Amino acid sequence: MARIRGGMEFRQGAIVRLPAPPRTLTAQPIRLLSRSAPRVELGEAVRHGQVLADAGQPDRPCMISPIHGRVQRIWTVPAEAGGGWGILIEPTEPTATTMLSVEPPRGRTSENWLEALRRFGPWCEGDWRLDLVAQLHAVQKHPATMLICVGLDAFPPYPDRSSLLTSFPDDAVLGTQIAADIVGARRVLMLTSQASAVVSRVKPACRNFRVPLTAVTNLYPSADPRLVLWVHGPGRHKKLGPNALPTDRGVVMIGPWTAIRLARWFTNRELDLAQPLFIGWPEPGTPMTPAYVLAGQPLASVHGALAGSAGALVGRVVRGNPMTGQPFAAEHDGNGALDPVVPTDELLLSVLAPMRPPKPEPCISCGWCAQVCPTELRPVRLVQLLTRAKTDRHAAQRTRRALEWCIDCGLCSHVCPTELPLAQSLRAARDNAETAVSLPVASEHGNAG
Amino acid sequence: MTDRDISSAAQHESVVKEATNAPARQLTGPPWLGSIYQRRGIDLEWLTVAIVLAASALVFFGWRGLVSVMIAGAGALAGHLVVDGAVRLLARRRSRVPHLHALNLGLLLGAAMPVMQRWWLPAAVGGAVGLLAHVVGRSHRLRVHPVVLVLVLIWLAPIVMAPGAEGGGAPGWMLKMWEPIDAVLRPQRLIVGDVRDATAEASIVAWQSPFPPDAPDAIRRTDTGQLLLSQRFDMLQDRNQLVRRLSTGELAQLSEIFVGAHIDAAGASSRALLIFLGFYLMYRRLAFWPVAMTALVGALTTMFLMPVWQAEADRYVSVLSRLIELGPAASITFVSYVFFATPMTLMVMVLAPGATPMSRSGRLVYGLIIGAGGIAAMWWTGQPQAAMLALLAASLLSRPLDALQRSVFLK
Repeated sequence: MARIRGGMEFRQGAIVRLPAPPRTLTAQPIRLLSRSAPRVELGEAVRHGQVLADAGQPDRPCMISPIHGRVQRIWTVPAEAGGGWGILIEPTEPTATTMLSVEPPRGRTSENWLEALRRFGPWCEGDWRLDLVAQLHAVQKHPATMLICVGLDAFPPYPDRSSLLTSFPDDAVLGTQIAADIVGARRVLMLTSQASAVVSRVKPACRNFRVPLTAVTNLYPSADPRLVLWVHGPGRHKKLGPNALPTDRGVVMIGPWTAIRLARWFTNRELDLAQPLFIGWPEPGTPMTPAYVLAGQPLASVHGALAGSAGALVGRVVRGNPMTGQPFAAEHDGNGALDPVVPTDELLLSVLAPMRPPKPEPCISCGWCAQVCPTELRPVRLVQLLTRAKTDRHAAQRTRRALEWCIDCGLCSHVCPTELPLAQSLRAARDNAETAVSLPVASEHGNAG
Repeated sequence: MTDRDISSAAQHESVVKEATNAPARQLTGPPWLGSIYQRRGIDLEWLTVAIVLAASALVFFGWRGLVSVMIAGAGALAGHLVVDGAVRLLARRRSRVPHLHALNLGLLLGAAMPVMQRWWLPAAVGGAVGLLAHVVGRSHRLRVHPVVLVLVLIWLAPIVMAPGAEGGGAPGWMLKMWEPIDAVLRPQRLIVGDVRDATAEASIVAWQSPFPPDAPDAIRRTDTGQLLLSQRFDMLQDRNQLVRRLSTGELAQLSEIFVGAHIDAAGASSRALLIFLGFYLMYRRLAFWPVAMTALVGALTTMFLMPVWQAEADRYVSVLSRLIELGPAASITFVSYVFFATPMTLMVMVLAPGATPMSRSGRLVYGLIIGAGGIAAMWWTGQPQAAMLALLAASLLSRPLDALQRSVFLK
């Protein structure tokens, strides 16, 4: 089996076993952020499962209320903070039911499934933002040939996906098969890490449901969808453009929780509204703390270590893993700053160790950044080219083309012995190039890799 | 703008701001893990290597060997501090070369050169390496290992300064600076003996042979690498030439070369130690095995293709054909001597990592140049130190070789 070149082997963390999702949770106020105008009004009583907002676009999931409650506040989020509407729901009952009694669609008609999934979305997890609804919408135009359940952990020291697979192996494999049926993919692949604890649990389930299992060394960042497609995708044209979805290459990718949720919906006839949340700790060897939560509930109610405003959590807690995770964005409702809530599209939060301020020194050309780069770029050279990009058209072409293939894994900064902010520099240049600077069109000959 | 001009984070920041108008705060962000390794850690690794080599100098060349290495180290530190002071005074900033790095270079140089009759040379060349560390090296546009550059100069200087047929040349006292102590401590006097208290004549008995208790501390020996290269054609013509020199002890035995009991660089005489340190550097990811492997392949291939004049046939034949005629035992012995009695091991295992290209393909080419070039240079000049020319040439090409990394994603 081909492996990505570059990458880095982190020590695999301890896998934790989750119990089945509880039927009830202590009710907490729920705060959700919607990009589209809310369908509810201030003071209106809402049931759990009721649609709060619907963008009206077929590739955008609706937003539903996970609890019974009353709309306490609705406010507008300024455009500079991302735009949209904030909705606060106060619970009217002491406990919240986490199961929604709703029948899954009958048959394999993908339109029916798209509508049903969209109604109870979103269906994404982790930090790669591959929503099943958007992918299902895409396969209406470009039929899918393959579905991959990416059970590789995005960051091996925090094995969130492996924990889900070992906790619910049958559901994960069945859900993968169901998802493949929904999208009409002939080929199915369950991709997991080589850890024996995972393989020994998933293999029998894969055998039962006749889903091929591929266990690979969990080399960071091999869970990145571009790399998954590059190594495990079908056909010759495996490359995934910078702004493209895997569906452009006929591949649909889902994570284990999406598969588990689908399977549980299919078998129990009830849809889980609760989601697992793993908290990763900075001390090596400390297992993750798992919990079942409702999206939008206050972060402080999950664990004491997560208490505090967004500003207070900067440098302490990030959404996702420590290599690619993002800090919680500051939110305001007009009356003041709001404390962060559980995100809808993230199963992992990382508590960070205190970081020593970096002391950058001159590059010693050790080559480690180039060696670990999973897309075989030369990050330090790329940063050097950025200096000339403004005046040198050729350098700008090379820079832009290479920047498209920086997958933002952060490894170059992590291994740099002189502590140069390579990944940060490249990200800043790329973000700016995407929004403001119009660099010349990429050339076929430009190469900074 | 040069590579050096953007080699600090502050400059990176200003560079990116300038190029893209990005606000500085965007430079903060993931990864939230600190750097896995630090520059200081790398310098400490190299310091470990240098200290081990200095300890090896103490074993076979006594306190004089150790002092020679220390003087070179002190000279490098002094030279570096002079430049550092000048930079602070004139440019009003700190120099970018850490003190520890300069010390490492000095110690490495001291270990890579023979013990000299006079202390001046290690002090002078140590100072030179301290100065050169600010001009050439991994952090500079000219990615040449300062130690290699100085070693080449040490080798070339007496040749250039030697009086010609019509006399002239450098004064005698200056030439004496380049005179090495061609002796090694005998087994009973290791570490504690004085290497200058040596036998009058070069010994042709094996190092581990019994010596009378009142024998001098050290025995004078011939330089095995020099002898091998000067007699290479004879040995390839006649198997007995090699056998006789081995049986009489004129050529140090391979076991002695591996242990380090022969005339060579003060701290780098033990080939076993060099190989061990090379593997240690590979384990610490400061050296790369493909470089060593391609250097070996390049060296073997080049050696086999080198021409040898065959008087009976009145034509040139390849070394390979001569080795086949010599038989397997003599061939393997000869090839082993070419590798281990010359500076090839030091070059490939310890010095080459100092200027390795960043790209994978570049490293292969770099290794090939070192291996093939080193053997070719030694073969044509008959001088073991000529091998350093290949490393110098390879390190001059190191930066262009970086560009050989081509991402498959960009094709």
